[in-house]
Amino acid sequence: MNRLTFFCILAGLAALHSCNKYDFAGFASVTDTHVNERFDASMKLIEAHPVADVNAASEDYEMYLVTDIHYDGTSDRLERFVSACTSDTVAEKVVLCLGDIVSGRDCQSAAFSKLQPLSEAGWRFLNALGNHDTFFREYDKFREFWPLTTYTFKVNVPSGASDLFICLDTAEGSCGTSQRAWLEDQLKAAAGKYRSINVYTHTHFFNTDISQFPSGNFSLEDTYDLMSLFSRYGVTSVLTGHKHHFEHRSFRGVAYYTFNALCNNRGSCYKVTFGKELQLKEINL
Amino acid sequence: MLLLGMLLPCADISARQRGPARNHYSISVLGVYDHSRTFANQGGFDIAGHMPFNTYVEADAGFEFLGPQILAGTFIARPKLPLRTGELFVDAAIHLRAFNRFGIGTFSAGGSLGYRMDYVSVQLGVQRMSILDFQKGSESAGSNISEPLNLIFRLAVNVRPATSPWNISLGAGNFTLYQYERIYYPIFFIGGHCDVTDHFTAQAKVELKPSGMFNMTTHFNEMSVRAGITYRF
Repeated sequence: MNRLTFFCILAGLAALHSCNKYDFAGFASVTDTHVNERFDASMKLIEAHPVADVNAASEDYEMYLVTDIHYDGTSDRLERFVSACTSDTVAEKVVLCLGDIVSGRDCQSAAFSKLQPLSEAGWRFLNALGNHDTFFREYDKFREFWPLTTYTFKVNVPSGASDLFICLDTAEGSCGTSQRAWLEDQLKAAAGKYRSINVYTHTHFFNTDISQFPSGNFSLEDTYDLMSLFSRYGVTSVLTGHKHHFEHRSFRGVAYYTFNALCNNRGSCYKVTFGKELQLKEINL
Repeated sequence: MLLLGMLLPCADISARQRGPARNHYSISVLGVYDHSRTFANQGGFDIAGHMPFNTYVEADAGFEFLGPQILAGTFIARPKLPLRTGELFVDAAIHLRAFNRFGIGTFSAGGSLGYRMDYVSVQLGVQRMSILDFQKGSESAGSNISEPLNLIFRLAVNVRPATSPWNISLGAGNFTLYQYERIYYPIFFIGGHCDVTDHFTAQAKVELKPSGMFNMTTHFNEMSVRAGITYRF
């Protein structure tokens, strides 16, 4: 190996290591926390402070949905999203975020600040953890702002019925053993009690589009395990992000949605109407 | 790592890229232990056959019975062209893996181009994968989903020439004779073989499938150990 080759390899490694957007070292190494640890921490928090129910004003109610924000301080897309929400008259004032709020190092605090106008206007921002939120071993910083990774909440509608929402942590392409057991318990307990059961999480289920290579997801065993669980216990919809591409599929009566990313060149968020059936309105930002 | 070290002296049929067994009809029977986050501990067995019809065409078939939960079968037809430094080959494979507990399975068909030499074997190709719903009797049953394009790859390195009576190989790929994964799920393997007699070869292999590699948040997902014998006719 000559000196130039050696120098080029060294420079390449240094460039990869100093990249502030993609965590190349994390490609084949573990993050600072495991899904089971995050699940345990989340359960402890929920025990003390459960996520409050939402009381909807009508049988069909609306929520905002956003995913893959990838905030790194270089775009005003997040401000535009916040502005779209706060200027809307939607009654429930709830945002479901499907993960990847941040991209890169040390962005958590700034992203949180950008979202502050939402909470000041009375909105709730309910987040699912994304893989980028754990990059650079910065999950500890991330959870200072968004500590819950696995939780449930209910939306009560005027007729007395309720919809159940379950947030799962799939940031590492796996549900983890503890969370998987908890999920089955939740679904068993929910059987027959709710008008609909909606699961939202970061990682998508199907690779029917290759525009966002590489964007890994579950192993086939995990995919089938979760799909089987969802259909067995009557889950209505599964809302996911990660793929940066909209898609709708059905399998055994369960509707699987993957949503377009806010960070895309043609980025968007969605206004979702939950009711007898799920309706989507894409808002380009 | 200790387990890997203990199994190193054993064998791996897939390592025998150009060894004598490639020129003989052979049948392999292996016991399997598998531990995964999805299924915890499972045991089962594999049966695989190798059929070298002539210098230019061979075929492999494999069936796996893993506990009561997983049944898998693969058939590979392989035209090949011996060259001075190695062997160029094309795999045309069909594969079915059924997960009984879920009533869901994978059917995939595809082709790959490979080149195997004494110390290195590489393979690259594409496949189309369908998620099959085996559930009967409900209105929503039978809603299959196709994933149109999946890249398949495999790289194996032998520590000795492939014709050696014993060898150790290691590598990675997103498919084996018994499972085809999405591109995002490389399966790392290490194994080896040792000819015990003229007709019998002992072999063993350890596979490790981490989760989330292309999410860049990698953790353990599945490990399997295979050990058994090959009989050469």
